[in-house]
Amino acid sequence: MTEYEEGPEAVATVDTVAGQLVMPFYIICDVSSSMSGDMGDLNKALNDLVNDIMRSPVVDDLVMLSVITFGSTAQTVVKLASPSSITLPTLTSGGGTVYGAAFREYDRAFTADRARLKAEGKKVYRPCVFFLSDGAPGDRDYKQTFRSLFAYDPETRQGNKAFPYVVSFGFRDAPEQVMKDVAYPDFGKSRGRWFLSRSNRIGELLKSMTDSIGNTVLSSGNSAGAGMPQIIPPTVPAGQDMQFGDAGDFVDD
Amino acid sequence: MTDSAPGYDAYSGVPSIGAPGRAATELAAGRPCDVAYSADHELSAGSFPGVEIRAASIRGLLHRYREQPRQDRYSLHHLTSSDTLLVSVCDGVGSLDQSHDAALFVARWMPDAYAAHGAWPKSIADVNEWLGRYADEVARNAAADAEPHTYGMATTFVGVALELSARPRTASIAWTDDSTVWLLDANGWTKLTDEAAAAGSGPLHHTSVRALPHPEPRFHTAEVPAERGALFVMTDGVGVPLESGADVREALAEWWATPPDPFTFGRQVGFARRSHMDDRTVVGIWFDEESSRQVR
Repeated sequence: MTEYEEGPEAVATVDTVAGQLVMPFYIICDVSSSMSGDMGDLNKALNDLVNDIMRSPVVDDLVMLSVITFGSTAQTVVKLASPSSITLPTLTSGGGTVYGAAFREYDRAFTADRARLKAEGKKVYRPCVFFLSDGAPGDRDYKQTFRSLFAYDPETRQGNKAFPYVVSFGFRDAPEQVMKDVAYPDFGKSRGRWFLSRSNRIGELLKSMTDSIGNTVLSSGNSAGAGMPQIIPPTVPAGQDMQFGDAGDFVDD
Repeated sequence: MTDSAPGYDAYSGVPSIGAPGRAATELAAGRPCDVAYSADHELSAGSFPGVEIRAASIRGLLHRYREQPRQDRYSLHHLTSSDTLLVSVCDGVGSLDQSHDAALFVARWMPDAYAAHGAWPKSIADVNEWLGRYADEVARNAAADAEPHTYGMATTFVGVALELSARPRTASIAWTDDSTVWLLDANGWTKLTDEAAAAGSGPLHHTSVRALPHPEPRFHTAEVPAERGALFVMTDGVGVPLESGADVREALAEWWATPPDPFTFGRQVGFARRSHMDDRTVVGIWFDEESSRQVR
């Protein structure tokens, strides 16, 4: 058993049942040093997000949330659990912007979460990842890391069959092309989606992005209870002069 | 858990099996849905010499939350000419708003089709065609700017035909998708319908159905002995937790070892269990082995 599963914050299973349907959502937040002036806003936006989701007992029964932060390294700060059972820590900033660390930590966490949930008899649906960043990746091979971990070829059926649905939210110095690259999948009917804003009102921007995440979680959770679960892509956050689009073809450098 | 165990009747008039979840404990009854003729719940009971029948269809918590109608429907019918009991159970596809109508249509007309053909394949083919025409008519009458899901409809189907006076007595089963038939006897629960295509077989959980109407409806048929224990025809609202939870199998086996009164049966079909919020429909057919032997 890994340290992750044994840790003191491991998910309690008292209120869960075999056969429980689980829609997992992971929020990956850039907390590199460039975010130092925004951490209060980010913490508040995340708290509001969790509280909004908790208000729906239906969605609270169906979805699980996890929060991963990254700078030079990445760590799971909230392990995957029902919204009403998690406690958000106060996030702090520091370090560079290494996307690959975030991708690897997500992959590790989801692999462990899925194994744990399946061992408990739960049915795990495709995960959805929300990726928030204010800057360009410091690791030049981030795209290779992303592809090696997540890419799936629907024609040959090779790659990661449990690939996540990834929605990227970029702001401040996050490059448009990078946000496009991180949105996934880039095939099929339900393509990943990317959003980008150059607004300077970062507090409002983070709030609108987490509102958008909340709407996606609530809508997707609503679809699961009737046995037809689907990730409902986020709509464009209002009033933030947002660029957006669906994931296109994956470009191989 | 039994009727007398803690937790029974603790949540909105239904028992819980395992953790009930917040929805079952906190959700208010809410505004009636817009489909005025659609009752939240539906109950039936029937009996023939040596056979007892109970049926219940329960509106799921998610439909209550979204103020949508129950999309499960069932019908019970006795063909006097062949002394055949016909059970039809339908589960409307949730992503299409008029699926309650498709489920009602199939449950309503399948007995007529079976009466005409005396076998499932042609009956299903006929009803599939009739439903297709009906769905096309509904689509034509929809507003020009209406989204397809608002007038679309589809349903799964599972049916049992039981020649009551035949000896040995067998049940003819047909099913299109993920609705199931189970035998409960001294050996416990046995699923009589094959695994739905691909469900749960991959690394992640999927749901995949080929519902009616369909240009090429996919259905299966089987003949099974029907002289001991009980058969349960059900939608996946009960089939999924039954298959995935040992505690569910244990509780339902205890509750349904003998036929409960129809009101108790309805409450039991609606048991609370976290994340299982779909509509629930079960038709139970209990066989009295003693009377079967006497008739023989």
